[in-house]
Parts: sequence; structure tokens; C-alpha cells
Amino acid sequence: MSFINYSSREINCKIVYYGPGLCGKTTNLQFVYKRTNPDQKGKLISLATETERTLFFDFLPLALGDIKGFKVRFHLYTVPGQVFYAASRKLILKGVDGVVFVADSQIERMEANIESLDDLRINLAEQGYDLDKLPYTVQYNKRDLPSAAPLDNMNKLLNPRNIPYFEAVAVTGPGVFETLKNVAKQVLGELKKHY
Amino acid sequence: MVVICPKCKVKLKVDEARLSAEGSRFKCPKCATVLVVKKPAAHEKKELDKQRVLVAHSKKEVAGLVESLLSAQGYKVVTATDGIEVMVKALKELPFLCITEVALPKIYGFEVCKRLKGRIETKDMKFILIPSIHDRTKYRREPVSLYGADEYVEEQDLRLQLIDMIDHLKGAARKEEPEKPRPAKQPETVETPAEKEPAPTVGQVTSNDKVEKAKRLARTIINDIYLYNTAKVDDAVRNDNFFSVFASEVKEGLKLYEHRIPLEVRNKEDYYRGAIEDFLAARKKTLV
Repeated sequence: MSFINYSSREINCKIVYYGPGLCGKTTNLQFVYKRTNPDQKGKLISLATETERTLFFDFLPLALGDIKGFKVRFHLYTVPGQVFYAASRKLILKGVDGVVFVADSQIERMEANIESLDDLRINLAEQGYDLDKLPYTVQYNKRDLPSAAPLDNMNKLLNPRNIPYFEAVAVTGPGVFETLKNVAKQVLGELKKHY
Repeated sequence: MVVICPKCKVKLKVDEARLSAEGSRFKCPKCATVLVVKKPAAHEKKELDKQRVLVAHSKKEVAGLVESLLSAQGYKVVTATDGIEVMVKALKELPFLCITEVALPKIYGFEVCKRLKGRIETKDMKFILIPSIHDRTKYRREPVSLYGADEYVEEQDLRLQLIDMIDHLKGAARKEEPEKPRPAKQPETVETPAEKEPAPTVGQVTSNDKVEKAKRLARTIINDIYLYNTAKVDDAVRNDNFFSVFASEVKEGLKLYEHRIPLEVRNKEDYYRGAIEDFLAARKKTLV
């Protein structure tokens, strides 16, 4: 649910990068952050829990286009991937406008991908969202690894609706901006319907 | 057993004990069609061919290497290049062993293994998986699950390990045989209203699904603990103190498991603890 700031004339949208542990969510965000004009971006914030495990979220606003005189600012978040931080993931999904599911292409992580996608659906549903109705993009990351699973198999398992998907290598960048642009376009489309 | 009404297509559960050999009549509760259901003839279980091996790999050179190694030992080799072909050939040729690539096109090798092990005709078939390994060591991981397969061998070790592995599997199969209970006869209805292969009822599917989900979640939890603490877990495995070193992670995982998995599934069996113990046993085997 986007938030409108009338004083700065901005619509704030939240995009969450979701996926299993070590699939490359943070790497995606770091790449976007690195390649974004310094005037357009805020600080990249990383939050760790008291146990200093991998729980953190990154925050990155990107100014992109206008809607009826209001600027659109995207806030990009990642969730902690480790399976048992479900509560934190649920919290971060609050008020989400678009989701990028980052899947790890390695065969041995396929089960973790399926589990994470299930977890995404459950966490969204618990907050009254339906993944099938949200702006949503799938990214198959780590495509540079020879152990990467074939695309049609990944699609069969993780993308039965055949929504837009992108192959990516988040460490070096291919596919990262394509994924973000796609989800941002969908979010803008939704905004235009409402404003 | 389950039969499908030919008229309204509803699935009906029929108590096999009440069926007579010449067939029993009953009414479909939905559309009132009268159905005649005969007691199913048992599936004939054919013996697996002890000299035949199915080799499935998308790379010709790997399949060729395996084929030459096996032919030298006198095995008859059948080859396949994708998962669908493996399924078809495995059921037709009934080899005693299937050596398959993990990342097989169309259906993954591990899925093929799971499916064939779940069928009465091929449940005793042995499987050896050939994983795709990336040459950069940082991405290399020992498999945490073989998805029901019996062994796995990496491409570079085929020459050295494959034949010994097969001999070992054949030996193990011989040892198992006398103890193995005879497979239960699968019902098959002769009349049209029946499905050729008894499908589980909707209730059963859901319950199996739930168990599978519980197992999958449990495996994901332990795999994640490992992924984020590889060296520490291996140390704990060596020192036999995993449960004390990782007490808080195990507890946190259990919290999620209990939140996500319904009580009726958890009461069936402790899949959570089972997954952790399976994982630890597999790690131990690798580390030794």
C-alpha cells in the first residue's frame, strides 16, 4: 500500500526482494545501489538483530517518473532468507506494493526455493494479500553457475502462472535492473489505476 | 481402492473387502449411475533385469563414458537424454540400475528417481545420481539429500568409483532380498468405471501432501542451519554435539515448524527431528 507524502509531493512505494537464504537478494540491492545516481538515492541501511545473524533489511529509494505531479519513490527491501525468520519476513512485507522473488538456480537449492515461495504466499495471505494480485516478478539468479537448473524446469516448479521472469547474475549485474524495472512498471501501473 | 464414475467423473472410495470376484453393484451417490466393480487383478511384478542399466545424461560424452565402463563389465546399456525418456525406458526395459544426471532436462534426475521408486514395478530399482559440479570450489557442496537415490558420483570420479559402487549396490540388493516383504498386490478394476491404477482419494492426497510439506520444511530448516554455519556444523558433527551447540537454532526452527505444520501431521511422526538426524548421519558419512 503506497504512502503519499503531500509536503514533498511524493508517492512512496515498497518493493520487497524475497527468496531463500543466500539466493542473492542483498546482492541485487547492492548492485542497484551502486549503479544509482547519488542524488537519487538515500542511505543503504543494514539492520542486524541482537544475535547478529543475517537479519537485516536494506533501504533504497529511487526516484522514477511522476504521477499527476507526484514523484514516485521506491523503497527496496530485502528479507532475511534463513527459513526460521518467518516473523521478520512477515513484518517486512507489511505495506508491500511489489514483490521480486529471487530464486537460487542451483539444483540443490530447489527445495529451499519452493519452501520460500510457499512462505511468501503464507506471509502475504496472513496480512490479507494475494500474491496473484500483487505486482510480482521472478528472478532466476546465479545463472552463471554450470549447476544452474534448466529454465523450463524452474518455471514449472516456481512460476506456474508464467509471469515475467528474468535470468540474472546479481554479482556482476546482468538481469538486475531488468527485474527491478519490470516490477517497478507493474507497481506504477497499479498506482495509475488508483490515482 | 478408488473408482471414477464414468458419468459424473466423481472419485469414489470403495472398500475392496466388500467386492466379490464376479463384481459388486453399487450406485454412484452423486448421479445415481449403477456401477459394477470387480475385484482388481494384481499387478504382475516383473523382475528387474540384473544385466541391464539405464544411463541418462544430457551430455553425450558423459553418457558415452559410462556406457563404455559398463559395457566392459558385460552390462547391457540403455541410454536416455531427458527425464521423460528415462521414465518411459525404465518402465519398458526394467533395468536394475539407473545412472542419471541430476539436472536432467524435462524432469530432474532426482524427480525421476522419486517417481520410479514410488511405482510398484520399479520400486527396487537402484539409482546413482551424477551431480553437476561447478569447478569453482566455493560453490561446491556435498549433497544434503539424495532424494531417495542410493548413491551419487561426480563426473570426474566415474572411472574410479562407478563399477565398485555398482558391485556394492548389487551386493546390498542381494542381502536385502530375503528379508523383503512381498509387495502388496495392487488393486485394479476391470470394469470401465474403475481407474486402471488406483489413485489415492482426495483425503489421502492432502494428507500425503501435508506430510511431504512437513518433511520439506524440516529439511529446509536443517539445510539453512548448515548453509549459514558450514564449518561449525561440521565440527559439531565430528564431536557429536550438534544438538547442544545449535540448541537455539534447533529451537527456533522447531518454533516455525510447529507454527506451520498442523498438529495431526506432527503427531504422526517427528519429521523435524528425523530430518535433522538424517542430515547429521549423511554429513557424518561424508566427513568420515
